Amino acid sequence: MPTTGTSYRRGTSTILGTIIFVGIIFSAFIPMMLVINQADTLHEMSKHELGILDQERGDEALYVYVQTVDTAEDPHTLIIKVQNKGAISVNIVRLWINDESIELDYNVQPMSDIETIYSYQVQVPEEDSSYYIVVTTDRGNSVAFDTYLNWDFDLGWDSDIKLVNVLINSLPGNIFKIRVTGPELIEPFTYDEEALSLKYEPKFFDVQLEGDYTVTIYRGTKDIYSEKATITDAEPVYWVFA
Amino acid sequence: MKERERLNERRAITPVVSALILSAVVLTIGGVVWAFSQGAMTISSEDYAESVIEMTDTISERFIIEHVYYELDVVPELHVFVYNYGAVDIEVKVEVKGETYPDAEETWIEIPSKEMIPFPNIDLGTIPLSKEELNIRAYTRRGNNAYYRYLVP
Repeated sequence: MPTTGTSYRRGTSTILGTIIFVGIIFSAFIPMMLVINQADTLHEMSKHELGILDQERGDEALYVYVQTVDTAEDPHTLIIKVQNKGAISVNIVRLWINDESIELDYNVQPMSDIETIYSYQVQVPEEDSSYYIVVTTDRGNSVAFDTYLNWDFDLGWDSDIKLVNVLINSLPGNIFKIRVTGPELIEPFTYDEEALSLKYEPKFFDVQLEGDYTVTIYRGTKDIYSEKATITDAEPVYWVFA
Repeated sequence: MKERERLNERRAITPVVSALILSAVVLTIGGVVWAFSQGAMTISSEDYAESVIEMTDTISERFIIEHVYYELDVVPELHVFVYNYGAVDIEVKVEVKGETYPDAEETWIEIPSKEMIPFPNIDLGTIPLSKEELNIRAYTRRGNNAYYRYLVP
């Protein structure tokens, strides 16, 4: 084996070059790849978390109800109630009463009963003034109480609007007849109304009284769907999705 | 003969010197390449990580125009409330009827994560008509948008 000459010198250089190459790989290339992979992993994690946040936002099923009270103890008061009908808990961060915002931190458990979250006393109600209530959750949903509440000096709270709303979006067909009858315990029914409806067209029935109502949907003369709608003071609006 | 032997003895130094020179050259060039590649790869990885973080922040922005009302006071003003429900802080401007607020190019309203900011009162200049529809757009420095349609009472 020669220890002098060209091949020996080439051998030394090859070893040095290899050491340097391996050094570059370990000290520069591999750390770079690790940083890139870590950044990619964090990005993917963020995307995943955002996907969950967006999905949870869409899954929130919070309903807002407003009860009106006008007693000696609670003069002209709005009692704001919520019910979480969804499968995830909802955190309420803000309540809007017209243009006034009230900061809240109220957690509503999934599939909850109707819970009172705030009692708002209107200090000096203006005649025929209306109150529009909106609740905001920490996931960025705003849920409104979907009927206007009015204060009238003669009548007090004028919030007798009780609605059965019907939206047909999955039954086969295009034109339907909707019949709403009730309340169940009062005979003959004080409310018996019919309306024609197109698919995806919401229909509103102002039933005015508490009680159980029957919603029947006809296509032609054949009744194809029926559902009971319960209207209470605490839950004055009932939606039928068929 | 003696002269030839002497030359042979002297020749033995040359391979050592040349090996040292070659090794020095390899080490020098290798060191330069090493330093350059380490620097370049550090810069590349930092740039990449920064761009990924920036991209992540951009897609992480979540905000809504939570509430709008119009006050017909001495000076009619539009009040816009923007809620940042995302995990990153945002910088926002609002556009109403083609006008941007704040109008200064480099002035943005900062909204920390999980907070709602009442936007500085917006003077529309002309009083909007009753039942007029105002399309309000809030947009961030990173280029995300949120819209709100407001019907003037």
